[in-house]
Amino acid sequence: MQYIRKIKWLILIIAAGFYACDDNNFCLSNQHAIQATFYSLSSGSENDTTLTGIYIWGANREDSLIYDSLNISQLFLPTNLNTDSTIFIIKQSVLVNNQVRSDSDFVQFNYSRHLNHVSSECGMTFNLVLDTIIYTNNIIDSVSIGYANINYGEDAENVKIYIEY
Amino acid sequence: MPKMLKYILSISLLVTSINSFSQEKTEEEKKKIPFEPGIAVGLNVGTFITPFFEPERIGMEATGRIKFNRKWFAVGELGYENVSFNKESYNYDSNGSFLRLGIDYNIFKVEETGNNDNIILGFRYGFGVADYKSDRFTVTDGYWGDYLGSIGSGTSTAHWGEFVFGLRSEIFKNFYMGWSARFRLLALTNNTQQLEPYAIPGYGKNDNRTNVGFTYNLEYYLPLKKKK
Repeated sequence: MQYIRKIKWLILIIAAGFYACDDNNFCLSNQHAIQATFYSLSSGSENDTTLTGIYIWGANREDSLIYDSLNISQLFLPTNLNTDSTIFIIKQSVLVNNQVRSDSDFVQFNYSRHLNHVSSECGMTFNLVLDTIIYTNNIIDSVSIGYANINYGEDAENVKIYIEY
Repeated sequence: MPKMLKYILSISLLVTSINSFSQEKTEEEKKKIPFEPGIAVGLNVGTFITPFFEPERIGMEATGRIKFNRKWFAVGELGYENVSFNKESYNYDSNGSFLRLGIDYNIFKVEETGNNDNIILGFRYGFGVADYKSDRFTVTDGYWGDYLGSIGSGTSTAHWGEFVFGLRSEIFKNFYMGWSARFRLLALTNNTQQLEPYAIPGYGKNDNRTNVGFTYNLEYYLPLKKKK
């Protein structure tokens, strides 16, 4: 009986801990945004750069700006989960010789959507795989896909946007 | 508050079982009783307690145990579990059943013949199957608008192994009470739908490849040989 008394308290603590163990998951939001960075090749090598006076909105969503007159180098562009492509308009307005000079481009991201069950607490989301990018060349020189996967919980640069100057 | 209740309940269950387990035997009870092979059948009453803490899960589990000798038991556990809930992000319904088969080894050194208490180490192979569906799910998107969808009925199967540690005590003649803690390792799952099951019957929540479980059994022992 001495033997049993010795293990009694140890068992009590371990087993009660098991039974009372609780899940404390937390869920992330906006995990289907494309992460992009502006780059310049003006110095002959690739350097990330900051653009001034940038406005960005989704196609047909002029009323809802994602970026509103900001100086930015990194972009988070929310994809439309109801379609396999999303178009954004990138506009730059800068003051040159007391005159506002504006240029804009559209960028269309084509992707495939893969339904992802995150967890019992967080429910579903989509993981995306970038396929192609179509764009105009006013501010933008070129666009390349660095990491095609847009996955829940991952923090990675998906796209490089090279600018004209 | 539910967590506190969980602690209180688990501790009280444990104390009850350990107290019964560690009761001193009287001299009369220490009379030699020969080993009797037999079969025990019982219920995991823990499954009736689970809905108080997780109202979405309702189930039942029966257990059967064959005693080969003082050390070794063959064990089978059979049950079902239904899960149903309606969250903001999705709703879910499933009906499933499970079977666990394995062995228990009694490490308790019996100091007096006739003491049928056990300290158990064991292993189980578990198999669970569930039909499940989600009639509504939402992926939130604050800019373009939420994605609304549904996932039709699918079937999930799962295989896992579990290590068992437990105590088992004869509280009345041939009537046993015992608890066990289980450490589960999920080996294989197969889902016919993109949606993974919320919970695997007999395994527990499906968020991790490992899980812990707890059983609290009441068993009746049927000796296979009559005493001489």
